[in-house]
Amino acid sequence: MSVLQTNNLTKRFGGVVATDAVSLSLEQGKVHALIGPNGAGKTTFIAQLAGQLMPDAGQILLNAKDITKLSEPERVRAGLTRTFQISSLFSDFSVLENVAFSVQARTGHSYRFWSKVASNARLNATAADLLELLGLSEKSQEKAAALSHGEQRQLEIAMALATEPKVLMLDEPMAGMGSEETQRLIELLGKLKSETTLLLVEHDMDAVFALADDLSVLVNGALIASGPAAEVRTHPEVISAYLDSGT
Amino acid sequence: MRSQIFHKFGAALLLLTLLIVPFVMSYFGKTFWLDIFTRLIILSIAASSLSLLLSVAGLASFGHAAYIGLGAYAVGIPVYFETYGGNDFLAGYNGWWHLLLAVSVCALFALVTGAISLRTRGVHFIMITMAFSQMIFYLLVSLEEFGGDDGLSVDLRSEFALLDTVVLDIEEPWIFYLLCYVLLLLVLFVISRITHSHFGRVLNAARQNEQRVRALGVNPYGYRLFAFVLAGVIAGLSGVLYANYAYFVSPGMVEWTRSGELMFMIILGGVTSLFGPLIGATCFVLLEYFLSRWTIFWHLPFGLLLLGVVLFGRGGIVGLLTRRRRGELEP
Repeated sequence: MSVLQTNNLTKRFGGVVATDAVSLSLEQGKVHALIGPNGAGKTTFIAQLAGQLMPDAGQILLNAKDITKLSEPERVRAGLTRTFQISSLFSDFSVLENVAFSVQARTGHSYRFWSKVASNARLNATAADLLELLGLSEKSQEKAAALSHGEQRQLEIAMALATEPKVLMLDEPMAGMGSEETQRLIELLGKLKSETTLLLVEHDMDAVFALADDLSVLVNGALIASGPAAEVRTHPEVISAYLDSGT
Repeated sequence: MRSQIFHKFGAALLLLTLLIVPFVMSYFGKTFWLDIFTRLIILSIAASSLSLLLSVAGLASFGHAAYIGLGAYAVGIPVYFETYGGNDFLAGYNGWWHLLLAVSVCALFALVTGAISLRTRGVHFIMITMAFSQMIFYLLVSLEEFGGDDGLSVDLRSEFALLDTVVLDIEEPWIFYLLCYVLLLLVLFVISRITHSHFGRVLNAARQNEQRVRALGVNPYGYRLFAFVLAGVIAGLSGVLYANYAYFVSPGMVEWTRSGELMFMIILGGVTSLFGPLIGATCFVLLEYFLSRWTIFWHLPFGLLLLGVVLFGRGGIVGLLTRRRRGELEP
């Protein structure tokens, strides 16, 4: 069953067609990897799915419901969450607070003016569980800004998971991670897919082939192939356009 | 942890000083100190309300004096009608009525201007909030009946009736001072609670990284608007006090330089602390007093000092004190 689907999604910047009539379908409980050379329009595509950019034409469906017109926060509440290629954190907050705020964002409105949020046991416990899952428990009291690059990448994912997404879009989650951290993250994402459908934009091909059930290839804004990973890998156009070019 | 205890100790000391000094000075016959301290406390309330926007939410509202003016005219106009007749539904010395007027007018003004201003960011936000306060300024100037440029004098202070028989006699300077002082404590307490609440955390997060707040499913607009209204209402309260303090209201209270002064107080005191605006206002008022006694060109050294704090005193006076404690400053 298709969870997230785009129909002829198109975005132009002046004369440049950044997204060229892309029709993509994400299957429930699978990892769908989106690959393509730098500048192919992967991040622009994600930004449209997340609602930061509005497409010029086309449709986005989440569980068969049209979400093309919804604002970014509305889409997140509908179950579509993204992570950022460059870690986007609250640098003055502690690691725990970063995640606790993300949990807070999911659990209804925050027009609560009196009780101390920092000592809210429910938010903190859920956040601590997520930090445990990402292996950040020991760092929970440190400022987010003080974390290493790899740890910030993990915190980025913990925050996205706190929103309990139905579809999680990961924009190059492994970028700049060490090989040990990458391996850890691959294992974690593998476990996640029973609960969440993943859209993975990634340059690390080992990670892509370890995780991806389905694979789509974006070149110059257009989808040149999409389908089960094993088939797309052998697609001649894909090999010549992308996989062969040594990226 | 040690710096936290130091911080609490310092704050308690400051509050105690503010309570004791004016009375000791009055005892020795220098009653004008009570006057200076009253002004200081009222400005602290206004600056603290702005700090909710500036320090917590990161919204540099440059029109905050408008609310002081609106609050002040919410006293001046009913008193004017009581004295000279007309508009009986408005007229009166009843302090509760003045408060109700001030709160509703400020809340409405903040709601409307905030709803528009908060659609902009950065410099645009600064300019548009300033423009709205200038509108109030010129509106007040144009009200010939209420003295236009010259303003209105308030012949008697508001009457705050507690129960049916007891009236809080704020004509008595020290009772008025205590009222202002208690209100300051209340305002600081409320702001502290709000800063550390669920609501405050949303404001704080949106100041640090609005993009991420949205990506977590929260639109900060409504939260910011609420904070904007709340800050306006508290500043309106300080306006009610100011009219009573000065026995006078005028458009001069709304001039954009007044909004700038409130910002200076916060920056001078330090944006990271609840007591920053109080410390800033205290230094501001005392410096103004001493420098203006020393020379009529007191704006010059005053300006240089502010420049120095902005350039070198990161975190204002609070920042300077706590950094020295932690030994981060060069020996």
